[in-house]
Amino acid sequence: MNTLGQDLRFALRLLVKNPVFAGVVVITLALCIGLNTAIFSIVNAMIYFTLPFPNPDRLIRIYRTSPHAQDWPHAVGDYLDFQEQNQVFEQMAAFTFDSPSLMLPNHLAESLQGMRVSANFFDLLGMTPRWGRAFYADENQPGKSLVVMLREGFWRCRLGGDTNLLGRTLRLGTNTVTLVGIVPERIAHFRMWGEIDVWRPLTIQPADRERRDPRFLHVLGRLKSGVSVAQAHANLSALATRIAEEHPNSFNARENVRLKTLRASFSNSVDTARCHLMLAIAGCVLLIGCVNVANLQLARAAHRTREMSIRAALGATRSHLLRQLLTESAVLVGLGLGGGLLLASWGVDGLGRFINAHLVQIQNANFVHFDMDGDVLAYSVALAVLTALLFGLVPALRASRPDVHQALKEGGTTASASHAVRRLRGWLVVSEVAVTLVLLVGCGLFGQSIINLLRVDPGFQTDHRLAMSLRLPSQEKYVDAAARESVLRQLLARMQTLPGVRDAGFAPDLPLWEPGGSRFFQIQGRPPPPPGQTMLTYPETVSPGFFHLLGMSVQRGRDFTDQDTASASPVVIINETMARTFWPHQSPLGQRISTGHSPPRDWAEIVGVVNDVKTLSSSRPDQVLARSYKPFWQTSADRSWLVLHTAVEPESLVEAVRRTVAELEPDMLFNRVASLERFIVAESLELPIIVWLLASFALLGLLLAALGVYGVIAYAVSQRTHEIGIRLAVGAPRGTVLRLLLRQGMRPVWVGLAVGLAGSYVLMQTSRAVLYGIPVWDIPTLTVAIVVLVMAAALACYLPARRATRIEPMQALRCE
Amino acid sequence: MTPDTNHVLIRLENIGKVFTTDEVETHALSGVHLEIRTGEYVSIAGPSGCGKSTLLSIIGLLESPSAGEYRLKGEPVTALAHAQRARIRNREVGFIFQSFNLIGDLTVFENVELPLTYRGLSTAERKQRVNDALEQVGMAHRTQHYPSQLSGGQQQRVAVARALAGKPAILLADEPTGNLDSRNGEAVMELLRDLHRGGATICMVTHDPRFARHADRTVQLFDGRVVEESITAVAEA
Ligand SMILES: Nc1ncnc2c1ncn2[C@@H]1O[C@H](COP(=O)(O)OP(=O)(O)OP(=O)(O)O)[C@@H](O)[C@H]1O
Ligand SMILES: [Mg+2]
Repeated sequence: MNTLGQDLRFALRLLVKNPVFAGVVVITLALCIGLNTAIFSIVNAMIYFTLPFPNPDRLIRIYRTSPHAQDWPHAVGDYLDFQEQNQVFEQMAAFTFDSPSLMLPNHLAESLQGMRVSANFFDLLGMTPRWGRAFYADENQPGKSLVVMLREGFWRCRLGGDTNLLGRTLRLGTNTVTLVGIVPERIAHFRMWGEIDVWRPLTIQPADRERRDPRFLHVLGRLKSGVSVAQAHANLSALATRIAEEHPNSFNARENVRLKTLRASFSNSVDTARCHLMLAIAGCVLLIGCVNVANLQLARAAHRTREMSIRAALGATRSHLLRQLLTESAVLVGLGLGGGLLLASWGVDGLGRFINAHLVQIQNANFVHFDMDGDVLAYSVALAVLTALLFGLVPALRASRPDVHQALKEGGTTASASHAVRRLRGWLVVSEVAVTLVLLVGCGLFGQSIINLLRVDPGFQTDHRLAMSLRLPSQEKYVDAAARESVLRQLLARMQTLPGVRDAGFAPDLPLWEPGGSRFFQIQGRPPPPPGQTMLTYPETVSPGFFHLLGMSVQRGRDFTDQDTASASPVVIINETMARTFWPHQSPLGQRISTGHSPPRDWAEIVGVVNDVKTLSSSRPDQVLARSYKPFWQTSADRSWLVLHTAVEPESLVEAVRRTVAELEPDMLFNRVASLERFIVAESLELPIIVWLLASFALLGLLLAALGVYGVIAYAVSQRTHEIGIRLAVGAPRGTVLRLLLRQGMRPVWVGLAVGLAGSYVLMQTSRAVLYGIPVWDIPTLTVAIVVLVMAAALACYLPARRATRIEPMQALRCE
Repeated sequence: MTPDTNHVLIRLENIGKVFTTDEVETHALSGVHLEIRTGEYVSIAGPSGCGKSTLLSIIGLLESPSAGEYRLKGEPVTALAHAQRARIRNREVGFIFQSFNLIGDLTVFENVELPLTYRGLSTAERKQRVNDALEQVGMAHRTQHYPSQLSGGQQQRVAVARALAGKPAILLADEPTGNLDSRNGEAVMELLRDLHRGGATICMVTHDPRFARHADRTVQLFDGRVVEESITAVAEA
């Protein structure tokens, strides 16, 4: 213990006495640890967070699979069969999402994010209400479901957090509902269901009891204790087969169930792969930093041979010396860790604010935050310990074994570096160059793949488009479909004549998003598809002219017209992919399809084929879904997106649009107004962030590597001043000596490149899954990475070599 | 002569040392016999390169002999492991070097304390011993100075104090006056003679015949062999 205090005091004094050394090391470590901590806290929030529920491992999401998809919701009938007949779950619950409008006295209507849940939803999760109660079982029955629970944070900031409100009523849309409970805030993790404000009971109509379509229920279960996920899967899978036999329309031969822990259901494979790649890349930067610091330590250890020898002569054992050297490393790492944590918390804070700033306008959300929680701290501390060992141990092992007799009898200050140390330095350069090449290639490939995604032509135009979400108070004022159509047509007419507006149109879903859901369909005149070959389409709805409004093009047939109304015969426009997939050898025009009914009815005629649009948030935008579009005026919707094509900067029209809406119908719910470009940015906000992060990783890594190589060469050259002096004195031309030094300095760089090339190959092969639009051997990226790295290394060699050859021979000779 | 083995502190028998560098073998020592008894003051002399420092570093367990047997306090120490040698060095040997070899980043006090810190003594005891040792060499007033703030003579006295602090069985000094002017050199020699009179066992390498005379006995080395052992007839008063 005594020696520890002493080692510590000595270590601190050494740092104060060598502020440049200490500064460089601490800054390098702070940058590297900070970067890794920041990335980890993002990854942690994205994929490693713990669910705020007891025994979260037993919470299971149950999906339906088919040849088309892996995680689909269920039909009511199937869900009820599962719930009643399974033997593996303690409880099973279902939920869906909705967005009710909150009507407060003297306030404009406001759209909330909500969930409809089975009464046992909270009990299943293991969450007790903060105040009040959860839902009773009979509240899932129609007519008894007029109760609501609110999220604690929402209740506090919107309703003043008044517990007297429990038992009182609120107006949600046309319903008057009783507030019965407050849900703890911890349910609102941004990677879970998003910021849900209200929960209401899911009502299941007796008529739906046997429905096998549509499928919209998300299903969740809590495993009985002792039951494994595999056992549960076997049980449900057998049930699914039985249900499929009983109801040929539901689970057919190639559909099944898939179970995932609730925890895993919140992370998708693309995010997970991207997160791991980011962690690996950040790890490369840390490695480079460690090598640099190790090298600095080695150079310093050479200066301290004499000190170590004296200590050894006085009876310090090797472990004494090791302990002292490692204490010094630990102090450096401690300071680096402190700085790193500071940098990281500052960085993730800024990132969170940046993301929220982009999301707040269009999602009414402001909840993305990256906590520096216990896990993150543990990670950084573990990283720091690893770092201390990595950069401290090798130099310490060397320095703790001084050749005492030799070092002391000369009485000199520096013993020139031994062969072993020089070889070790060579290996440091090799590993530094290798890791840097892998880093550069990794950043290059990943960055380029992201840029490819950002460059994807969505198939529609985004500039000069303003989008907003509208909803009619349909259950009170506009119960009648004709009334809805009339007011929406008036709105459209007024918008089209608004100064600065070129065109206006409706679409209940914007085409930039993943479609809301799929439906089976049948083609008139063809036999129903055999089991396992269900035909699927993703239905959308648009108003006439909407394609043109978005710069899409109807390639065959016609667009919808104002005459395609509820009273006209049903029509549909399909996209190219759907046309190609289902009518590969003939024109689909004039063909009739029917969606989702059994037996089929309401045959709709295909009147046009429109170009494909790509889902921007997808990691594989080249995989286009078969979409079909119905005419807006045939659907009698009470809510929609309104999109304007503007002649002026779109967001400059927001006030005028708002006024127009209010003049026409003050009760119309109107929100999420922003330019289409803003929606697109928000949709894949992580992409530019990743690109920026990668660019800064690459830059930092390259800089550190160049500094590292510079340090090694500069030190090696300074050790050879005397030799260089002799060479110059005997008449060697400076150019020859310079070339000699460069050649020797670059030798480990070439070896490092070879090793790095092998590493890059492994990286390219293993990260295929997350790379989009990257060839198997990406020669240009490799070439650029190698050229940049070689240039940096050559510069790092050249500078000290040139300085050494500029010296006057006599001066060099006196040096020794 | 039948020496009382209890009083033989160091016994070297047939010691040889070969350095091998780049295929060249240097026989630094060969067939060296040497006994040093408790309380003796032995000086080692000889021309440059004859092996004096090598002999001293073998006695001080900094080097292992290539041949022969070395017993310290009757115990064979030739074949000991690294850590054990370090422990013995720490307890039994005090080194004084020509170039002082103080650590520049430690204060006078801490330099003297250094051998004690590798021993696990209490803080109080260390403090006591350091102050005693500095008292003995007349440097007690400079405990918080750094070596660079001291004259050469003062630095060497601190080095002597450091060698003393551990209460070693033997003090080994390799040309302790080599880097000092004659006045300071004499002062250090005077100090060593005082220590010897107080009972310390000393083995010192020196070129200077004046100082060699302080010793009880001079071992003359030539080309790695002991060529003469002479008893100093009269110690100067
Ligand atoms: N580490 C070593 N490697 C190779 N040879 C060595 C080594 N140390 C000493 N020698 C050789 O051993 C011989 C004895 O050296 P030593 O240092 O003991 O001489 P010395 O008597 O102390 O000389 P000086 O009076 O100059 O200090 C010399 O020839 C020297 O070159
Ligand atoms: Mg010598």
